[in-house]
Amino acid sequence: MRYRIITVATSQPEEAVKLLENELPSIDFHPNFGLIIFTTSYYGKHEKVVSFLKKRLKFDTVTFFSDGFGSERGIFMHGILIIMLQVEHKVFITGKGDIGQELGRIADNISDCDIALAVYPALYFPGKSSLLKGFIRDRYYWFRYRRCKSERCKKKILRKYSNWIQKERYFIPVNRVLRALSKARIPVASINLVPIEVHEETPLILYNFEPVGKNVLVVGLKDAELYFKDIFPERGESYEETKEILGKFFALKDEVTIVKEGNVIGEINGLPVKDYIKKRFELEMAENEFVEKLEKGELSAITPFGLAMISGKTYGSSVVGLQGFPLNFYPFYLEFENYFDQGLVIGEVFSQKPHEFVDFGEKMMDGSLKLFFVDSTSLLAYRGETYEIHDFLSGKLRENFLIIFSSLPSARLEITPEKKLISEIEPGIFFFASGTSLMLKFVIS
Amino acid sequence: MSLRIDEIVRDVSDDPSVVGLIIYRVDGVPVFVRVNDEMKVLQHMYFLENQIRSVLDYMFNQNLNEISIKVEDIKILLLPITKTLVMSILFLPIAEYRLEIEAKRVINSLRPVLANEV
Repeated sequence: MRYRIITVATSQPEEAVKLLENELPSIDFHPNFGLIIFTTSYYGKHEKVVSFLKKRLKFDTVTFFSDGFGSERGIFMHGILIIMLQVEHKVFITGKGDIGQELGRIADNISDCDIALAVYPALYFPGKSSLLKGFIRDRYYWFRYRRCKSERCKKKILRKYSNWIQKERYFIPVNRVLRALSKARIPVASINLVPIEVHEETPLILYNFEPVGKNVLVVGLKDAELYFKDIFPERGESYEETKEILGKFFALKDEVTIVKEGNVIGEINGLPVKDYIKKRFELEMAENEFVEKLEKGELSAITPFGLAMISGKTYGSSVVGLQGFPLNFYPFYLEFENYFDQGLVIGEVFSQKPHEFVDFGEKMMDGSLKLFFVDSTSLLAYRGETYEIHDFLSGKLRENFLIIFSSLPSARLEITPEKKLISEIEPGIFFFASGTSLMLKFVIS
Repeated sequence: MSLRIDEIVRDVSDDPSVVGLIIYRVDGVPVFVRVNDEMKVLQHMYFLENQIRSVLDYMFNQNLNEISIKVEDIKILLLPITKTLVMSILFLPIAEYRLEIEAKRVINSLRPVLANEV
């Protein structure tokens, strides 16, 4: 495998094109696959660079936006990262059918690869008209839900709402994607692009410079390895044990009872989630404020408060971020059927050092090219200190590494890690919502 | 020299939230200024010039990595570059995390340039 990395550290598209014009001719091999990462600060002014690259790069490319990236040169919050590789690969995109079936078809085609990378919008922020349609649907199902006298009736309505929201692909549950791709029997990295700063019709993912929309893009790769880790203590052997571990590690606010079905939460402690959030954290947002913030790109999808749910399959845990969104129901990018009906409302605390995110021990100490996908909430939690991640990797590896700050790095692994990771929510499936990272290794020839 | 500094700090000063960037000597004398919003910078430079010496003294004596001060709607981030130079960034506090991380990289790039020059 041969590779070349280009980093452009400017937020001005004209300047970026000039810099790229100088850099691109110096490539001394024929790449056949490229990963192009724009920082989210480029959103809305990326077209000029995209159309330039479309003319120049005549091989398979996958383009997406991330909150920031790092290389040997430092960490960049404004700029473009281009990774050009000569690697055996296959690219597939889901069609319009049922996402589970579409992914199953893709899984059959990638089983001869060493690893796969799934890139998709776990949460899609549509344009204004679709958003209003979403608000109407929320009210319609809520009207029926609040007339229910039994939990069975409530769950039936939640299921219908969940089916609708998934059919429209506003939400693509991470565990659903990873379960469907597990048919391939290879490790799968999942990069779910819920940016820190949200815009309309984002996340934007491009395959060969054309938008893939609300689909899952899967890249099968040969001669590559995948590792996953979280920065949290190990999970317990029972609900009570994991609850105690979570309570010690995070700022525990409440133990609550939940009504949930599919990927939707209907109630926390008998209250609609938005009312619970308003009461507990005094956070709320009106519909018009939500739309206005989304249009201006000022809406944040990240929150320091969460609902930790414990899996009945592994006693691992995932956190549902709690935001004061103006919806009666609370959909999320996880299917909840394997979780207990009780949960813990917590405040996020990262007590580990930032370099913990990328310290993969001995597994990282070789001459391969390493891509570290680091949970982007680390940027908010550590701010300037995030730079320690770069300093740590520079000290340990010196070269051949890249850091990509992306939301919700999650994975499906074939070999269970030695540590009993708290983020293992189903056997072999890892997701926590924050504090996780992935390492992709490519062998350099 | 000034052009070289300007080229390096542009990664931070081009951020839409930044109103100005000033590099101070430890005695409070500005050695480099880049301004995006003249009025706002002038208004706060007056404040900074009155306070900067004591703030810098405190920063160097206590060996602090950074200090940030909020004045009205502006935040001022002070980061030591060398033992005698401090970079101060005046900005509107939107997406501060982004600015702080960019600032760290700029400091790392400035250090070898300025260490032996000023």
